[in-house]
Amino acid sequence: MVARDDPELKALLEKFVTVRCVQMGGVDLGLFQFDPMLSWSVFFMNGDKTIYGRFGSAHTDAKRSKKDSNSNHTLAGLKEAMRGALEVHEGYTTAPQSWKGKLAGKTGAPWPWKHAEKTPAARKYKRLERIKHSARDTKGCVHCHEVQRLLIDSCFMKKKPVTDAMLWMYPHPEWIGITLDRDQAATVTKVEPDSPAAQAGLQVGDRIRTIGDQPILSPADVTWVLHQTPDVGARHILGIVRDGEGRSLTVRLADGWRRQYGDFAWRYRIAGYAMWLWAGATLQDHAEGVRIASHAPWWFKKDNKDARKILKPRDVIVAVDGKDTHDGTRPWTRSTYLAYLMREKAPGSTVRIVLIRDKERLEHRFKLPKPRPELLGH
Amino acid sequence: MQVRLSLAVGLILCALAPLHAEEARDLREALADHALKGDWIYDDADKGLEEGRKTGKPVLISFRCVP
Repeated sequence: MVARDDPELKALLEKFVTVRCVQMGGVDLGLFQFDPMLSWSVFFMNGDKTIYGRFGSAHTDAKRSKKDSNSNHTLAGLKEAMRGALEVHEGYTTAPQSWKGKLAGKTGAPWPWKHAEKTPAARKYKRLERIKHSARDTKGCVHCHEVQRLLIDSCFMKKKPVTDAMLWMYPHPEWIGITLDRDQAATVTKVEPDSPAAQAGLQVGDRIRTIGDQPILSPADVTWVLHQTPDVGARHILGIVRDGEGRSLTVRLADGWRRQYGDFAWRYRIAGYAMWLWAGATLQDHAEGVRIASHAPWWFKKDNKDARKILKPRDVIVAVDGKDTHDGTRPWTRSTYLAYLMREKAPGSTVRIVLIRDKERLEHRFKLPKPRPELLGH
Repeated sequence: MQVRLSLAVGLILCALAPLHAEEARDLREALADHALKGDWIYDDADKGLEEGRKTGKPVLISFRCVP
């Protein structure tokens, strides 16, 4: 309601061709790559498909904290991003050749499957056969949040690698140690001590204008750059404005930075995998390993019965398949556990675990069941 | 025979088209995007990009399902 009454927003919108997509069916997944946890995301583009920037950042722990996944969006932030997009558009249309290279990184590599409804997982689950292209039908549509699951499941089915970047996807700026103002494009409001951002010299009040060559219109653009960042040898040059002056800072990320700083287990669409792999147990990071916080509700009993008999709340898993889950400096996180089972274990295979229960060390093994499509689907 | 079949298919499609258009119109009214701006393009990014090419305007593409 606030947005509808905002004359500035209306005036800005008049400067754009405006498109609203209410579902992902038929959408080119390679071109329109954004965090699928969002139920609202915006692309600013040229008609020639060049992407100027993105707006929309998922809120970490959206489900558990009962916050809407869009709670990072503000009207002020949207308007700021729109003004930034208009500036980029002017630059690009005036001197396209000098801008093409700067904007090239805004577009991701093509996906193995162009459309969500054409993925092997969508075909297998048959749910999407009910897709109707009626704009009213929301039951049969492809939701944004289903895209990640369809991609990962399809990779499993086709024996394509599920990479760290696919699991630890769309990293938040917090992973590298900065919190950004939701209202003012990418302006730093907090820097974590000893983080990569702190080591680079970033300070509160710095406004990130560019990363590499890419103009930054919103926190979503920072997330996009991180999403595209390799796990090894990662280094970014940030163009910032501090006290009205432009500066350049270099952020270096340790090899394996996603696993070190990030978490994907909070993404509740990943929960289906946890149901399958850990009998629906809720996992918590723990100083010695991963702690079983609680069991799944009774209606998940039929999933992974073996594991359910073995695992008890407050158990701490300290080894899996003979691997010590503490590398000497830090333990595996709940995401690392999930990733290990998702990537290394096939349905029906046996998992050997060592757990600590009431100071007693116990060894168990259980068999992974086949995942139920309805758990992995919507 | 082929002409008759084509004609029948054509008639069926014509009969269904207003229904689809009506549903789409209902949805758009419910979404109330027009309160912000009159001319939204729905579920057709390609059409929006084409419009951007024609007009020289930048294109804003919003992904937002029906709340």
